[in-house]
Amino acid sequence: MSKRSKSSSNLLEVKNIKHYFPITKGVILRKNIGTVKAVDGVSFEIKPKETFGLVGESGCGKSTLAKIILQSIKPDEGNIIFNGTDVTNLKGNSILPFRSQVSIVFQDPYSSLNPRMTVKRIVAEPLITHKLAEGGQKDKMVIDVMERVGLPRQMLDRYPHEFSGGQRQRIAIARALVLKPKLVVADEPVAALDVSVQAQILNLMKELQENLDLAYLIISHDLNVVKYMSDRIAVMYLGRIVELGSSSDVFYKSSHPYTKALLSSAPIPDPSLKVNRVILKGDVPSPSKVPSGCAFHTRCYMSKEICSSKDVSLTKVKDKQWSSCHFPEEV
Amino acid sequence: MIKLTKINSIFRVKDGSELQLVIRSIRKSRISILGIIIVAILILMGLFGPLLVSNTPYEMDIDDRLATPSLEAPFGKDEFGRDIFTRVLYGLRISLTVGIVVVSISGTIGVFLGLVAGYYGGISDSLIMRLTDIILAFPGLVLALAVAAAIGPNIINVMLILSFTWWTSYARIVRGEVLSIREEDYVTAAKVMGVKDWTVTFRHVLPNVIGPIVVFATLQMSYAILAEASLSFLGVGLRPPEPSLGVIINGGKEFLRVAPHVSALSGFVIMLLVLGFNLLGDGLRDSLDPKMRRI
Amino acid sequence: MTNPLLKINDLKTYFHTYNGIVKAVDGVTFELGKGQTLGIVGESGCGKSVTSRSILRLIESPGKIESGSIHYKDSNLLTLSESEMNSIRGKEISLIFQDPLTSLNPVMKVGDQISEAIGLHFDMSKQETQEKAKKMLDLVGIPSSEERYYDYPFTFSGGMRQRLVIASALSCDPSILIADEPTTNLDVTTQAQILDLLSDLKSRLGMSIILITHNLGVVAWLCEYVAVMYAGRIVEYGPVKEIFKNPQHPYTSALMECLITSDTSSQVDSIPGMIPDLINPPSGCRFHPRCNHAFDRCLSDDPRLFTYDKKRDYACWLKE
Repeated sequence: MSKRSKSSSNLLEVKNIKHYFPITKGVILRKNIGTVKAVDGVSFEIKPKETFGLVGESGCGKSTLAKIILQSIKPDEGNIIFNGTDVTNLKGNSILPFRSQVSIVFQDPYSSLNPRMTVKRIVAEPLITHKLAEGGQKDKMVIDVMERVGLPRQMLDRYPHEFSGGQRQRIAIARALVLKPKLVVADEPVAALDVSVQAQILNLMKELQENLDLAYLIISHDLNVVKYMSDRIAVMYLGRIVELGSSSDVFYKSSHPYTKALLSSAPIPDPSLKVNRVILKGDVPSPSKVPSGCAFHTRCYMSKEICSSKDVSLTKVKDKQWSSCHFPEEV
Repeated sequence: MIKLTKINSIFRVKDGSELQLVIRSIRKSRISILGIIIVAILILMGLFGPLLVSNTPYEMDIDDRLATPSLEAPFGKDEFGRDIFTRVLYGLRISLTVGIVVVSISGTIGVFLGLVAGYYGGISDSLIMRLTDIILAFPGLVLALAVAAAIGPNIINVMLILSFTWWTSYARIVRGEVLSIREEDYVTAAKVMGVKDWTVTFRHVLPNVIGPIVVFATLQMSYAILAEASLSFLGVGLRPPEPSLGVIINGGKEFLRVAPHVSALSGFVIMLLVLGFNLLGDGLRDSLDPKMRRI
Repeated sequence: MTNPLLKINDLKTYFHTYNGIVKAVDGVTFELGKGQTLGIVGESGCGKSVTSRSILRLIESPGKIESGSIHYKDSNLLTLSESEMNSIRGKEISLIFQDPLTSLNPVMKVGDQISEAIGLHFDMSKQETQEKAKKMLDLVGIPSSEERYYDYPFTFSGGMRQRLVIASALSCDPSILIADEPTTNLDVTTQAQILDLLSDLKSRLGMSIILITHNLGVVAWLCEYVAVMYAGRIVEYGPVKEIFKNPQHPYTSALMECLITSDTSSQVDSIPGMIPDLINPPSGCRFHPRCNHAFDRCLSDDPRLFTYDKKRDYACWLKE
């Protein structure tokens, strides 16, 4: 990645993260027979109040990367720098300030809330954990954040199973915001919701971003959702970022064939539109057997000889757009 | 139904809570209700029965040996002329005490070890699981017999032996549940929030594991009661003249042809106890399983 | 429609639960012509999956098909015996599900699973069923079908597994294929491959397809006709091109407004409120509590969809 003169202005810096999972054979004497390259050298930054979208299909490593960013897993290589502090090697109490500033919203509203706790207790948990408020003040903060997400205080004494998917997702968002974090990681925030409710939640998230100065990392396989929410987008394939740029550049001036294929694969609710579809051949290769050269060449519609032999990393295509293709101009 | 609603209001269960759903489900299950009734009656008898009878379980009346049941002695008299009904009441108390103690101790040990093994994995998991394997390799009653022969046959030893070998099932059940629960999003949410591991285990994982534990505990009550009765019957648990239900049966076994009521009635009470707890356990299992609950 | 292949009239499937009777499908009427692809689209709880299972009488207690008729060729499927239905399932009408992982038997070779289906319905030798199964593998685009016949499902990716499921479903040359959310669990690029395959098979084999989905984009890709379902009823029905260009029912148009497409730059709409309780649905028109155009008749009278004479219709009082 290019050098940044004002690196201290970044809220989050992901620096060359690598995470491999060994594949072992045998029960007693374990032999290493391969590696799953879940994340293979990923770098990007998120600025304050920005929405950064991470797009990719299954096996691309976005979930693992999210866990690393949240410091739920420690990466094999690389650093995560939050607000100027390197949190990669922090543990125990020293990482608590980071945890109060970064929160998560999960995909499945049915499993992200403890079924045996009341809504009030669920939303208050961050306050209790960080010992930031007690008694009346704690209650007030909980009521406050619940109102922000559009849920009346009468709901506080109820249990998660009494609510619909959309309402549960609001509760999850309330929990993520009660400590007024700087960054919220949203992992497929609306994938499990009905169409008519998806927009409700996304609009809510946008509104909250305005009012609370939040930055979002939105992870999704749904390009339209990512484009609707994000300022900048990174496209991942087999553990690497293959394209990075502003939303409109990535969508309208894609510089990587995979991005183009993704965009054209999405079904469009307009039967009169004749789409020039790029249907990729074959399956996504296993992350344990990453193809030589450019990892995408086995399915690429414009691959040339050099693509199977020479590897390529993310290089600048033009101002604020990067691609890892040998021939970005031809896309 | 009215009785149950009153009890409900006494305990003031939060509307909509999981507990309320469970209670509602139990109310609809005839098996559970039957089990609850049987167990409740037997517990009441065991608790208050001995206070209400006028004689003691040791009073002998040699002239009236093996008397058949009558109005003054509803269960008749045993081979020493002791009132069997009184003895059975005291015996119930013993059985229930043993059951509760064993279930409590083994439950505590087992749940704790199961939580540690399931949540932390790694070496602690391997160690604990190998320990359970070793213990499970021994046939329960044989082990109890051997230990009783070594350290002396009395009720405390019986309870200790059972408690320290029966925790294994809890550990296994809990470990299995923990393995699946720890992958749930709400557990990850807590960790990402900064909740310490130990707190996550007790605050998030344990409450969601309670279901199978409760079911197993009720079933284990019946095993414990049977075990105590068997050991006492064999002479390595309580011994005569203690009024353990097993001792009573043992006492009457020589007179099965002439006076079957001595062993039979006591045996019948054991059967009721076991049946009651089993029905309760089965009913609870269905009520606690969200898929079976049919809300 | 003249001589439709499938004619469903006033189908009602209710679930008798402890809390009450859930009217999952409450009077559904539609037709399917030969070689036609019909999309049934709706959100969760609208009854689309239950409808598809009702066609093949795969409803189990506490569910029950209460009334209505399902005419296929010359018979009413609801009056057939179980053994007669067994000769319909898989042979005349096939069904594929959302999750290819659980649709395949993990301990049986994939080729055998397909030839088993063939052997059930046709009187062929083992050799012949195997040959046909291999041809099916080719048809759905599984490379090296000769060798792959003998592999187990876990050696295939999600997209490949869905192809296997399709192969199995088509192995007995059914007239109708019912696909219940066939691509929902798949990645976008894999979904495109499967939709492309279905499109190709459609034109090659000339079969009719009922496609159940919540994704309007998928409907636009594959279907000629669409039925929009809400709360157990069909609220709008017609040719895809017309419905998308000019939705008439307020729910359909509201749904289209909610869609987040790549062109959406400004605020996207959402439909206020929640999907109604099917035990106690709202009085009159079921959509009225969430409808911007509701007026007094909507609260009292229930607008019912027509009979299948018209090519396009919707169940709303605004029509009149």
